[in-house]
Amino acid sequence: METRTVLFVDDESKVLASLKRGLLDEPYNKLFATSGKEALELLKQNEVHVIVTDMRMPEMSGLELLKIVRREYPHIVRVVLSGYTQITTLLTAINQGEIFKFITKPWKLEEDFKGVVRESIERYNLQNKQTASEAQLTAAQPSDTSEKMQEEGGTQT
Amino acid sequence: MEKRTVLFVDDDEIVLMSLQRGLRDEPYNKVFARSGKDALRILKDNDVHVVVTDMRMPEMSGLEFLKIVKQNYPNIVRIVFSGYIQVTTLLTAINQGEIYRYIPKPWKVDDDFKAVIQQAMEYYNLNEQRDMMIAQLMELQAQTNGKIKSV
Repeated sequence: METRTVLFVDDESKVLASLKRGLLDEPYNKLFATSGKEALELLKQNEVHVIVTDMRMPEMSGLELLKIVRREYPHIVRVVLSGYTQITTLLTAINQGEIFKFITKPWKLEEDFKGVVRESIERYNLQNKQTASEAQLTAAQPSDTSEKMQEEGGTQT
Repeated sequence: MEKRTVLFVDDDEIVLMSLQRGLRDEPYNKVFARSGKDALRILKDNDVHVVVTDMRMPEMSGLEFLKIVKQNYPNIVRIVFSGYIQVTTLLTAINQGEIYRYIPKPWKVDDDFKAVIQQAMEYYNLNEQRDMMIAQLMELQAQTNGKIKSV
């Protein structure tokens, strides 16, 4: 299976630097963005499978970002990493962002964080059970089926 | 498409009755359970597509019930419908119950409520379609491989 890619979004570069260091040996590609806008740019240029975002960021909030991702890249598994834990934040994250997991800050890298990211990748793989050869097959057969798959984001070609 | 079925779980009978009344005209089957244990028995004998459960119930909690559903019936879309709202309850519902939505109580059976259930059913349908397509693709691939071998 191709290596999966996880995009981390936080306006605090310290958080990103700490994640970068802590996740060095984890078996997936890591991308980092300090704003929602930057994250969307990265999504345009890279194939991303899991997104982990802060909620409270200037300009574009995590929720706004999640909603865009949900609409434009529905196959990407959405996770929140946030210290701003209030009932309303949690409710909007689940009900409007349709997130898979919510990690609270400060986080425990070994016990919590790494496991959640791995579970999210597994979730992605479960939802997109295809192997590379199936993706090729889809590409080679532009039938109705493959078009629908594309719409749902089920196919990564 | 076969008619979809939604299972509502709440130890408060008044809540179940109010749901029954409020959702009478909705185009899906409704099944009601007073406990997690009852709900599990219903799941054994019926095809259920969406569960909507309270969190705070005696004996089996909503979270316990959700975890069993997630484990044994992973395709069923899970919704929490609860008034016992604390940060930790919500966090465990999301992270351990892997829920699709959380509807806070008090609530009304209004258009918003109906829309959430409708969306959950659409979500179920989308997942089902995707799984079917993947199965078709795999079959096609197997056939293609077979042909390549015979050549």
